[in-house]
Amino acid sequence: MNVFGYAKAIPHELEEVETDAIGDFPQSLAKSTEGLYGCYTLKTLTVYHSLERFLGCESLTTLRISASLPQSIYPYLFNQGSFLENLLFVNCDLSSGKTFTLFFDTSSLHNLTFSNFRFCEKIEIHASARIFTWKGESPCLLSFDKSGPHKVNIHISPPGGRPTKRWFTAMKDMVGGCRNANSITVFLNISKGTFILYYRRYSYADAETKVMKLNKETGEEMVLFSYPMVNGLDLNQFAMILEELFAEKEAHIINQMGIDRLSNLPDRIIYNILSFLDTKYVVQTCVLSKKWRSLIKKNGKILRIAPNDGKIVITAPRLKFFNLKEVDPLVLCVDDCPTLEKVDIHISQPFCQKIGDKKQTFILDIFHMIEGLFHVKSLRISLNLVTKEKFTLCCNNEETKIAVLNKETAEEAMVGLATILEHI
Amino acid sequence: MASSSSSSSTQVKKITLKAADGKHFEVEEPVAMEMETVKSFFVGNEDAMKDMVVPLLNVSSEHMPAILDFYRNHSEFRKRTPPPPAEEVKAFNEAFLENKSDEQLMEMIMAANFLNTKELLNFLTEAAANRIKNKSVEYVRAFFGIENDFTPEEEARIRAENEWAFDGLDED
Repeated sequence: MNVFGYAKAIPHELEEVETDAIGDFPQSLAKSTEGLYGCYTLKTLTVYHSLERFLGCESLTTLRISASLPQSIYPYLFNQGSFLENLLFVNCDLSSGKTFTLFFDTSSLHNLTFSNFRFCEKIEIHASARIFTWKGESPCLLSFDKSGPHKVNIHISPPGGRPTKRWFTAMKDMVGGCRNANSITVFLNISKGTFILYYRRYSYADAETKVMKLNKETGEEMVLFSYPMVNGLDLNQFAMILEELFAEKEAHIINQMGIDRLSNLPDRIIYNILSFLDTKYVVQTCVLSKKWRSLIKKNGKILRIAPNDGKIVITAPRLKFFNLKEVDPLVLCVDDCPTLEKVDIHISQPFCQKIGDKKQTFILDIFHMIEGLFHVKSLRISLNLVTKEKFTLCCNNEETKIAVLNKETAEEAMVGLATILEHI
Repeated sequence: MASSSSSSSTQVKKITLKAADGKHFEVEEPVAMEMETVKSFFVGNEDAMKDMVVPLLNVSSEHMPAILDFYRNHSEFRKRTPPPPAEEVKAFNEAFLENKSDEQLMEMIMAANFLNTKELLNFLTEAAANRIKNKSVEYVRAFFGIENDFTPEEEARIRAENEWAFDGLDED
């Protein structure tokens, strides 16, 4: 009790108080201006004290608590501490249960730190701290409400030897809980040294992960390697790097990471590579893996083929050659393809299942199909019939011709459109 | 290079670049400025010019000489009047890619991306495109080490959906 009375003594102008007073803060403190309440110079307070109800001097900026904590801390505990910038829980433990929930919505809060929080498996945070720091031995699940922290620091010193699979999974979940943060730094203290696993988000899509080695004596950081992460935080990749850090050789990390070189390239590079390829190769890449498929689908910059009500829209700024085989006539819309030079359409036995009027419609459909293609330098349509003839319609800068090729004699004759219709 | 040293007083300023593995490279300022990443390092920070070591985290020292060589030659090509014959540029480019493994090519693409130089990036990505052109899906997967995460049924369905694209391959 004396300590509070002492602090009240304004002439002392205390700025820092550390107390191991056992028991609750005196009830009267919360109401009156006695004790610490009245001490308007106090900036830092360290308590070894169970917090049931808390005072807060308005001047207080740092509060360090080392105590056995209840399962939840609600805002009223801190209702006066509205200028608190740093809130630290050091060597705390949970009095009961395994989940700790913190409600603390003071906008001035900058740092929120949990260091060596025992018996706690999950921390739920409803606070708007900008920097969240966690230190401990075994991973702990973290969850943040929507206003998660800007930066997360995790310092972890795993127990000796190579951790179990469960440990890695728990680490993955822990980092996963922080995925909304703009940067996540994991300090890994292992026998080989201290490694820093750093994740940073640049934009919604692109991010980077770096592994650095920290020399504890000199404080020097050496970048071992850095690695782009496509589509934000890739937890598996993160866990993999983590696992590799425990592996025999450091160089191994780099090799391991090199496995899927291209899939992990930033999207823009993949698009760049694809933009040099002809349509069909680009379309082929959709079976490479799920990621590639979604890549082709979602981005129209390279090539977009969107079948839509029997209409295909093609957008491909660098496309030169386009080849369609064995399709039913479709309306082709070539949109933004300034470099398109050649289009080949090849249909064999187009009429075998069509009779009468259908045949005529078919020809008309084909003309519809190529309507949008007349700016192309060379356009070629060949109809390979069951009979011995093969029709080709060629159109290029100089001339447009319709020819019929006799497959047996390889003779080519020029015919008019009417002739084709007759033949059918 | 025996370029004229008429103004011996204005020596070409050098910039030191540090590759990912810590090796230092002294590079003439105009060459270094070809790299947007390096350039942005100095923009609005002119004082930094002196003795500043620019760290290039994603570029291994293995590829630095080749990359610098590319910048030097291509900036020289651009400056020359009349422009160099296309064959000369082509010969240089081909020589540049010769003996480069697929892996090295990929690493250089990553480096070019990091350095943010359009010319080099476009050149290398086109080279990569050429290497996968006309190749089967299996080849491309192996080339880039992409893990196939489709079930055989899914793959067959997607192939069927885009049949025309795969049809062409049989002729190759």
